[in-house]
Amino acid sequence: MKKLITVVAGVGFLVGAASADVASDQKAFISHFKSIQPSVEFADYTNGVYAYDAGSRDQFEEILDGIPPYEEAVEKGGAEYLKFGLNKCDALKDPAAARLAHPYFDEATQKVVTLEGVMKACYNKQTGKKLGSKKGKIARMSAWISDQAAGEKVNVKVETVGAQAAYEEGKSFFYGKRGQFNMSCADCHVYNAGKKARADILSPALGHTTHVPMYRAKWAGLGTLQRRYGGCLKNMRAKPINAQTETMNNLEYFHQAMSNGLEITDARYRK
Amino acid sequence: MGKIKLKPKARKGVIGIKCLIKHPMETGLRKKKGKVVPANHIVHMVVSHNGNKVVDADIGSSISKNPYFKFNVAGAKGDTIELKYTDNKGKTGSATAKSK
Amino acid sequence: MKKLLITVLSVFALTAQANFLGGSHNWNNGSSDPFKSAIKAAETGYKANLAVNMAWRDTGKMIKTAKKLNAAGKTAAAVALANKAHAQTVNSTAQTALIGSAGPRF
Repeated sequence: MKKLITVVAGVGFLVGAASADVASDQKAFISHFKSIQPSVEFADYTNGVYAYDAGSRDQFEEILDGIPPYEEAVEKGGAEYLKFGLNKCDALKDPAAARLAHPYFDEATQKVVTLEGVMKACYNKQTGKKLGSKKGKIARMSAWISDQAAGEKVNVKVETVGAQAAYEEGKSFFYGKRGQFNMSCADCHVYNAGKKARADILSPALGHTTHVPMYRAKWAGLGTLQRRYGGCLKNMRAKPINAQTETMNNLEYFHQAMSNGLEITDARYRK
Repeated sequence: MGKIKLKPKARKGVIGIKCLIKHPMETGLRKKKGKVVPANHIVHMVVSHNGNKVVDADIGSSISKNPYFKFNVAGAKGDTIELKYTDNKGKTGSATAKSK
Repeated sequence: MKKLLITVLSVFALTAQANFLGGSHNWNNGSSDPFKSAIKAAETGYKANLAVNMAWRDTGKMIKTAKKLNAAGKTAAAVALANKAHAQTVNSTAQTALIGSAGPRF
């Protein structure tokens, strides 16, 4: 009996500690950004780098006020969502809810499930064909789905032992140095956020995932978060890791959790 | 060649004209699968306000895909703005809009 | 007897030491051919890097190019490039060892 109580208490403590970890991790995260840019409010981080730099924010607002270059693509995504029957899958029936529910840790498979992952599975079920993970159809449809949740707050939950393990793996990945340049995601997007890397201002990781999928002027098109992961890895001279694989999904799980409480936005324009 | 989105908006006697022209803007120097992608870009663009030419621009291959331009011209709500362009293949495009 | 014991013990110590230092110190990759040895070291290292998602961007290409150079008879250049690729894999392995303890500095 005593042993049972100890075991249950032990597990309970672990579970309790699990939730506390994301919250306390995020608290430390936020106070770090507050220390490097004291004048920027938490909510402003929804627009990421534009919260830091007035000049680029002006350009950003100009473009949004006029003709966001992704307008048509996102509309097309909405039409494709219906055309390919994504509205028929339970997980995607309510697009706003779908955006808010992902990524989450699936206890049955013991794996992180992302929005794009669910979309790929659904697309395959409805059409028998494969859907890419990075650009084109998936980016358009995911952007449209995300638009439906605009204004809602990111709320990634990490509540079980398995979820915590996946979250910790994503966290290690984020803070681990890699590639020939021996840099971690944190090196640019946490410790040096707001500084310039050649001609670009390094965006803060806080708020990174509020506007994904994003339109990048460099791509002249939309791309998913994991498309950007691949590009960034290549830039650090590390070999990119395939999208929607466990490592990338664990990273996304941690990455999105760090933006908990920030509003999802449909202003997807980035340089 | 492609669609034009034209959004003129009048504010305090100035019309801010924002436009997005869908055009591949191929430089003619790019290769795809070993073959050169032929040049296909806008060469000339004209913007008129109530029939009067206000912008006459030579556009070159250094302008990127789906270019976005913004112009300011003196004017008021209801004025007519027209944009016309020609590309290196001789194709043309145009759009007209009344300023809001 | 003592002399024999000392010899046996020192030989044992040396071989055990060599094993302990790991693959990167295996001077003989099963071949006396300098290229074969160098490329095997690079490929083994690269495979290990890939398995843990820590491979560098250019290593694979270097290995491919080294093989081409060797096939074209440019052995010295081939060996140099293979060694360069191998060096990348060694560095990547060193990074991998640190990942587990990676975390925020605040």
